[in-house]
Amino acid sequence: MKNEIIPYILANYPDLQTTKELLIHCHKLGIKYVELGIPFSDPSADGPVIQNAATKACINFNFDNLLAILLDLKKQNINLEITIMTYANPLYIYGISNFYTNFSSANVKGLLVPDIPFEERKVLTRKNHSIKNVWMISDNLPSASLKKIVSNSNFYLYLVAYLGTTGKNIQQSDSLKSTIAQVKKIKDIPVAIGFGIKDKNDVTNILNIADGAIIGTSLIIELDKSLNSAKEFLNNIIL
Amino acid sequence: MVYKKNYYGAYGGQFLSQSLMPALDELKSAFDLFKKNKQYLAEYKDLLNNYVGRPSPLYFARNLSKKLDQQIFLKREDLNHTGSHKINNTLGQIILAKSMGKTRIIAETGAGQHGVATATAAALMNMECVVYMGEEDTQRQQPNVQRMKLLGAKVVPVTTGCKTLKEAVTETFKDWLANQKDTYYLLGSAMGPAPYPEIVKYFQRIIGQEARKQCKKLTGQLPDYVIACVGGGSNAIGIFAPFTQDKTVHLIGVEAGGHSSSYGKHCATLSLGKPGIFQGSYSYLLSTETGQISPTHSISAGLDYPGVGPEHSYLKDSKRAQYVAVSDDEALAAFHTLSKEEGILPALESSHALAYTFKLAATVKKNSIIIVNLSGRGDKDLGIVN
Repeated sequence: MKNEIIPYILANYPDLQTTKELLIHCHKLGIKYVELGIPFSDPSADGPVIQNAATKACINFNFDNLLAILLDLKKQNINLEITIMTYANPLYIYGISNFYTNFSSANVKGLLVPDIPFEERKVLTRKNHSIKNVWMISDNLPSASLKKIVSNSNFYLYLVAYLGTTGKNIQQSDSLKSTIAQVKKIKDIPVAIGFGIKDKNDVTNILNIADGAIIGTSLIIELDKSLNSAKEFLNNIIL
Repeated sequence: MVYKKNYYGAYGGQFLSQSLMPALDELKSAFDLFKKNKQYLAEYKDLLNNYVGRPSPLYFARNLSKKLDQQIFLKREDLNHTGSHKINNTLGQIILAKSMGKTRIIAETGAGQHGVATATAAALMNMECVVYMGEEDTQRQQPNVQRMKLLGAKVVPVTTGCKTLKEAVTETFKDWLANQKDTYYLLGSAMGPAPYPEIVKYFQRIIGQEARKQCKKLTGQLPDYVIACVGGGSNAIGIFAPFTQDKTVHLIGVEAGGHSSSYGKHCATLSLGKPGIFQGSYSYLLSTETGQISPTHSISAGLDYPGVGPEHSYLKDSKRAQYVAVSDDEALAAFHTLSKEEGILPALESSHALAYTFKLAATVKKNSIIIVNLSGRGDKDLGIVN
């Protein structure tokens, strides 16, 4: 991963057909990595925009309908590298082994669970599957924790831009740079930054210091206007 | 000891954002030091005796006992300063917060009892205080909102989701995530991520320690039954903890059965839920078949919560405690019965424990010794009861 824009797409918002079209559009734009969010009734890491969207999207969501769409995209040779972002309970209830078995055959490469910290990784551990854990890190972690997390990662790391929930304003800070430097010293692994990245300008700034920039809240605000508006927004950021 | 590395058997853990792990570590270290610090412990004890008014009486309910042909004792936590058991925990935790150099206190509240107890402790210690409360709860527990404001706290109504306790908890965690440097999250129930369930139990076990001694003194023996209501489970764990080794003592937790056992109409987590991961711990939970958190209902705002403290899940599975549910109507009837029979207005939360006691009394051997934890007083509920 290098210089990558990673859209965060909330599954089933407002419906799965829209999710599918957005994924296809990402592919057309040459986007390689996507973070696909599973809607949850009580999203503790999200600000009001994603929270409101998730509250609606979670009502008739189920993993198997999403899986069908991902398998269909794969059939059409739309091979995005997808990281599923889900809160712990929907994943736990679906079954973690189930998840790994079913979703690894659908281009899902990563799993990110914001309410399962590295300390509780046992819950996610299963043998024989190809999906990798993406851990979230932040600039307040003690260096011993950071070292453990980084050495045990083998896909990419998700660095939160600030302490708080999604959708606030990002401030370019030296501490982000120094956290990335610390990570790279431990292991040569990509670092993507998320939270508060709103527009092309933010993306450019972030890609100066990190390997990936995750953009979520702004995309949902555009999607609230229309699907075309969301597509347009992605076009402008990419091109 | 059942408690090992943040878990009670299979239940517990620290299921929160990675960014909050340093704050939980800091809290755990401070709590370990607190327990060894004679000065803090003396300050806590002094406040319990002279500010709260402990020990709270174990009252032999003479009219009820006669009527039910049982020996009914009420542990009078309703007589504490601020009107419930919540103050035991908030005073302990606020000394802990001070020992950590924190200057800002945040808390969630359902019925407002924990919010009032937190605002009280913060006023006493001259600290800034923000309380998150579901908007629906701010309406149905209006007197407590006024009390918190008079005590100098800022009350933030939470308008997301069901607008009750679970949303208030989520918002408090979000605040803590962003402000962990100077802010202490004073959690009110024996739930959430480790070490909170241990901290809350540590400060609430005074209820059971006193009750055990008082019962022995009054009757010459241990009780046959100890009964408490369970929402998150702080008053229950507080009165259960000192009895868990007394194998002859039956421990019974009473949940809110609401209108009925169908989806969204109750909050009987242990009776009707199954294990899941939510708000910091692995514990019994009310969630849908796709893992979304269920809406809940109870006439009592303090029990209106889809989760439960992890130690209760352990006590249930290990069969050391039994958990049952009573309906809104049964709790309401018990409220009126206690008011008329004994001249005590119980909180609607505690009325659930009373309601089950009345049912139990008809089925067990006569003259059994039954302790009911009267966790709070009912003045706050007059708007609902009328």
